[in-house]
Amino acid sequence: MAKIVSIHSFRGGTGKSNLTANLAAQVALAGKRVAVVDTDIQSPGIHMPFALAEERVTLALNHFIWGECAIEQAAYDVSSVLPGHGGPLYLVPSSIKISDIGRILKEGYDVRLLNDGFQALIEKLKLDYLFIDTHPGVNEETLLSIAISDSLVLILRPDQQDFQGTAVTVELARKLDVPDMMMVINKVLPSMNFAELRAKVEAIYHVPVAAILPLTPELVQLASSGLVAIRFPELDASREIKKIADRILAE
Amino acid sequence: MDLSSSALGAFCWAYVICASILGALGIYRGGRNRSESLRLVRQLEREKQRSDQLANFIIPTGLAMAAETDLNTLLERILLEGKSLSQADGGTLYLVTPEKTLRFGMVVNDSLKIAMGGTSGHPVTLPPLPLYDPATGEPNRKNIATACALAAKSLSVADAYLAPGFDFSGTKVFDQKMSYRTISVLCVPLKDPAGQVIGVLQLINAQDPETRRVIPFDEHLNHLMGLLGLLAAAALKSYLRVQKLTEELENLRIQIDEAKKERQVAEITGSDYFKNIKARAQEMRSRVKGQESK
Repeated sequence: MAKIVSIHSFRGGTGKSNLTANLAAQVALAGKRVAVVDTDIQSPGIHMPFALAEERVTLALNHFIWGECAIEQAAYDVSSVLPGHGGPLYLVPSSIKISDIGRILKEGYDVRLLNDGFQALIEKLKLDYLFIDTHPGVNEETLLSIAISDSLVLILRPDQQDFQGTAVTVELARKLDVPDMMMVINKVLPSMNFAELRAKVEAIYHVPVAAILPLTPELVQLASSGLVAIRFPELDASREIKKIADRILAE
Repeated sequence: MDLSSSALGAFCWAYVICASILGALGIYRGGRNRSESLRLVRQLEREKQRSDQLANFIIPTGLAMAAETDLNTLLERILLEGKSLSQADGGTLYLVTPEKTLRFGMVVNDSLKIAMGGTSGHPVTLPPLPLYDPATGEPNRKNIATACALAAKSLSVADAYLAPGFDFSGTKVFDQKMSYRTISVLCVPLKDPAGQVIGVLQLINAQDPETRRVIPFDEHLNHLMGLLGLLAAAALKSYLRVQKLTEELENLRIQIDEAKKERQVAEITGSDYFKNIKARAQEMRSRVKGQESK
């Protein structure tokens, strides 16, 4: 049976999309059939790490929501980012065209359509894993993604606002009976005491910290332009990402 | 022709005497020009030396100090570069503490082969110098290093044992113990861009580069030493600022405003949408995945 994994952050800029892309790639490399859906319709970005060129995207999640296509028609095979065997790996992007974003913002949409879309995608592409790159913050779309997830990955920075907001999300996820929850602390200064940070966070949230990702020059330089866990597998951050992927595969 | 007996001869003598007087006057003026020229040449040489020192020493040293990321290495560089520039035999780098004292950061002396602090591996165990008398609260101007810090200007003495106004008794005790003689002393304040003194660079016993005799510190170096002090202070201040920020980040405190959290959670869970989602969550999970197993 397919597993649904949502990656969520209370605020933007935490590295959510990059983490989603890297995790999906690692799970695909383990031989699983994987799809990623970018539900951050207002500020799409996960197409960048997958090197999905703008001109290749003729149909996106937006067009599915508007009833202009089936969801699998907006799914693009991005398995070429994987070295060697693995996958397939699909991406359902959100449109990066300003006019499309503007239309969604203006008209809104029925988030229940997303539920139908996820269901259809899993069926049509015979998925083992569906990764949902959610919109930051708490809204109807993110609550839906959290509610249907088997695993919820909460990503945050070591920042007071992130800590406060994530406490809200953890509470909501508990009330929605999410079967599995984990936290990932990203952009942590290498000079910090990681063990102490992990202990502090776990004591406060009572949620396991799956990984602490250090802020490194390679990550800053690579930014969104590639999959760091594939390009630099020797980095501490890449090893941590693989640990998260292994944990998701084991659940 | 007999010169002594004729009017022509008198004229000639008069001519010779006048010419001699005028010639002597001419020699005098040329001599004074040579002296002036020599003075100008020496001044130009000094200016050139200063420019060379600025371009080849002060600026590269300042850049190197700014790039230094290790405190001990930075302290060592400040002291050793200052010692080298001033041809000093030894020196001490003090840092101003929040308790208003001068803490010994590093001490070196070439003749005595002493090195404490910096990267020497030997800690400086000397007690700090109070900037203010602990008993009276009065500024401590008796010690040349503290006086320099308080005045925020360079101070120099040609002979410590004969310098009026300063108490070098501690120095004399040290000298007697180590069979040393502290003679010339120069103290330079390390001032940050805001003019605040954050340290003092003290150098002792400037040496003639050829004879190695101890001489007074060259007053023409004051400007360059002051520049070195400014650059050193800027590098130190930058290092301490980064250290403080790193410590704040490393000692991260996580505080959750529980009341605020409960309010926000209640607002969301009280909505019809959330109630609907919660009621249907399990069903939705099964439905989304269950269809593909048909």
